[in-house]
Amino acid sequence: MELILDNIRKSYSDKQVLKGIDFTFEKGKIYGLLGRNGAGKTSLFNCLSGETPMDRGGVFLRRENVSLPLREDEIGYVFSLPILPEFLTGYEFVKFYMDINRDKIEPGRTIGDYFDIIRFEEEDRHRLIKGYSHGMKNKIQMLCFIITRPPLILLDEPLTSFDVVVALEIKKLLREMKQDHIIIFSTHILQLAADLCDELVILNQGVLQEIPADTLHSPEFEERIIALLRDGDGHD
Amino acid sequence: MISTLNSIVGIRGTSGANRLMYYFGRIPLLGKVMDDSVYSRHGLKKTFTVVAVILNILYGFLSKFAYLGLVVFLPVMLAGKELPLPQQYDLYLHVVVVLSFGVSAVSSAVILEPRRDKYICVKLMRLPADKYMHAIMTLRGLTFFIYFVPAMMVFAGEYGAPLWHGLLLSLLLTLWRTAAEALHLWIFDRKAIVLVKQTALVWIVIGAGYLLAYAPLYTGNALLDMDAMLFNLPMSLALLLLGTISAVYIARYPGYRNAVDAVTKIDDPLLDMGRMMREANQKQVETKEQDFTAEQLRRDQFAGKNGYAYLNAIFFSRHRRFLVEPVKRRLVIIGALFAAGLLLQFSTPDLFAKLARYLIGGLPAFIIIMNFCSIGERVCKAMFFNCDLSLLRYGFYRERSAILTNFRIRLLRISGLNLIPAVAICLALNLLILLSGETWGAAEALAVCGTILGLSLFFSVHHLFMYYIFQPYSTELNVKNPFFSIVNSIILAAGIICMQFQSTPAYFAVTVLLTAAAYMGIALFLVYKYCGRTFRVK
Repeated sequence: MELILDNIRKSYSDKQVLKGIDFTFEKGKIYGLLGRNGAGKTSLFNCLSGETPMDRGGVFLRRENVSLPLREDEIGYVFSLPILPEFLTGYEFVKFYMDINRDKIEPGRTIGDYFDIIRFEEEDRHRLIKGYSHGMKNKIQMLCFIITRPPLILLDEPLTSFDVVVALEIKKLLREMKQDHIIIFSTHILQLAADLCDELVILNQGVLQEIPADTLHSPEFEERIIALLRDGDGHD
Repeated sequence: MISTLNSIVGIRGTSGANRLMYYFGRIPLLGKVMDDSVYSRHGLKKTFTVVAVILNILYGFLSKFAYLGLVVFLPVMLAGKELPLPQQYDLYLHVVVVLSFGVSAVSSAVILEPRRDKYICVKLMRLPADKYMHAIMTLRGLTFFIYFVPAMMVFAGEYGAPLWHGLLLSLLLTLWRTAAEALHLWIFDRKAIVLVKQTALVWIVIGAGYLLAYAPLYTGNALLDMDAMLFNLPMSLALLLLGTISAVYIARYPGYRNAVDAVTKIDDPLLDMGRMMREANQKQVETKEQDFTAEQLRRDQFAGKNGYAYLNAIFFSRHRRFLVEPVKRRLVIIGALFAAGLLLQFSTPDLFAKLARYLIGGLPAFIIIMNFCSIGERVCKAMFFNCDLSLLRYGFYRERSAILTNFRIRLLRISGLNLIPAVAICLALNLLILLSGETWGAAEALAVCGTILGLSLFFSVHHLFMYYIFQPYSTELNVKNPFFSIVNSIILAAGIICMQFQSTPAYFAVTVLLTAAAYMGIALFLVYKYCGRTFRVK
């Protein structure tokens, strides 16, 4: 399974944010999407998820040589600012979410099982989401894609709000899940990217660049990335 | 001080120009000629700055005309048309003295006012507080006087008083208000109280002041011979002395740093009207956590419901105060009016018969009444802010089938709630008319009930339709889509036009029902067809 990005372009009034993105992501890998503030990471994710329409280009999912346009229900998107209906309790939201996606759930799993996967305290499950901390909300969002297991999982700056213990749990979880999914997560924290990802891609000057895999664990990794990110600075 | 003044005017001018350019860019078609690069084009911006400053000055003059004209001159004219001019002039002066010398001295003092540019200049741009305050108070004193002079002179002329009256009154007012500013500062200095922020006190003064100001309009007599009292040498000298002492106090005051700090806290909502509006809007519809006990949040309550039905059941149960409470209030009002009607029937049957005849003929008025009687707009706001705003970020919620399921459940719920007061109105109306002994057949009763129930359904559909098709709210909850307001106004205007038609209840009922049915048909069709595209967070 591959995710194919074909010439994605997006401008906001005069500012061209995405200038023709071409890239192929593969199943079984965690991709780190690096970019400076304002490089367009969130814009790219929003275009992929159908949240904002792109000006040109397309996104396709290829399974066994058949490419089909990516559907909204094939995407799990975790926002950097967790967005959840605050009048529900965590339990109610998950139940609602499971009801809606009844056909995608692994048979035999209960709400309780799912909460256990993300280590969510029993008494917190029945509190209004309004009162949840940032990290707790993020966990609930993660649970959404754990439940529906969409082929493509997008995580926008996900682990920054977790404490070390939870971050480690989530990292483990992502690694366990990666066999069956394409996971892309955006961050500007180099260490996290190097630590968790199999591949690194850089969004700079509106285009995507792949970083050779061997760079990832080499000693001069940091300098090379910084050099790459700094490259087009003169144009701005 | 001139340079400080220059930079303050400069900052105000620039932010005024930016705002002007922003709104210019929002004008349909015309705005297209401007893109974002204009903010950095220097020459153009200079022009806009000059325009902004000129507009500001014009506004200064016009606002004084508007104030004196609408708040003082007009009420005096309406109340005292028949009085001789000198007496009207006395009334006019009385209102000016009570409002401008009295109320505004408490409510509109600027020396301790939380202002955006105070924050920008002193806190962000590090202008020394005393320099800033000296400049701003001088500017205020001068412009206050200058802006008032033309308006004061024109209105004095209207009463046939000499023009120097207007000039002198402006001067006296400026001196008096300078003294008031000094008093505010003195109180702050002694007691650390910012008077303009004592909302309760300010509103009491405003309320009492307006009562006092307008009371003589009913009696037709000012308490004192105002012009003789104001325009004489001793009064002028006294105010001149008071004003000068106050000006010196303001100029020499050593503690402006504190005075500015006290009112430029970053979280002061008064500094940011936009944020205040936003928070107020959100508070109006937000879910309150403390409204629910742990018991209520337990799982069994909504057992047996699934998916969207489950979601909506919880939504409506947690937002009862937007749903059930308003309906209850409406029922109470209907009940009270019904009781009042009954009372009238027993006490003065003649008057009651007149009322009944009016009710029979007044069916068209129910277009307006039912509009106010139906809940919907605030519920839609609550739906948007508490539920859809977040869930619309999820792909599954944006699917057409999901939107339609949701729409159906919500429509049934809102229609059901709106039918309760509608039924109550039908009952009350028919009973009252029956009791009055006017001729009232089953056909007419049916027509009236049909109209009222039809209108109730109509408005239920209307609110939800508007919400789903125009999705007018921004994340700040102010209405952003101009079409929303336009269509809403058209509906209301159509209602008012309908009220002009005089016809039998039966005809009217048929017309209303047909129109409503057509509208509902179109609305439901449009929602069915387009909601997938229109129902988004914008």
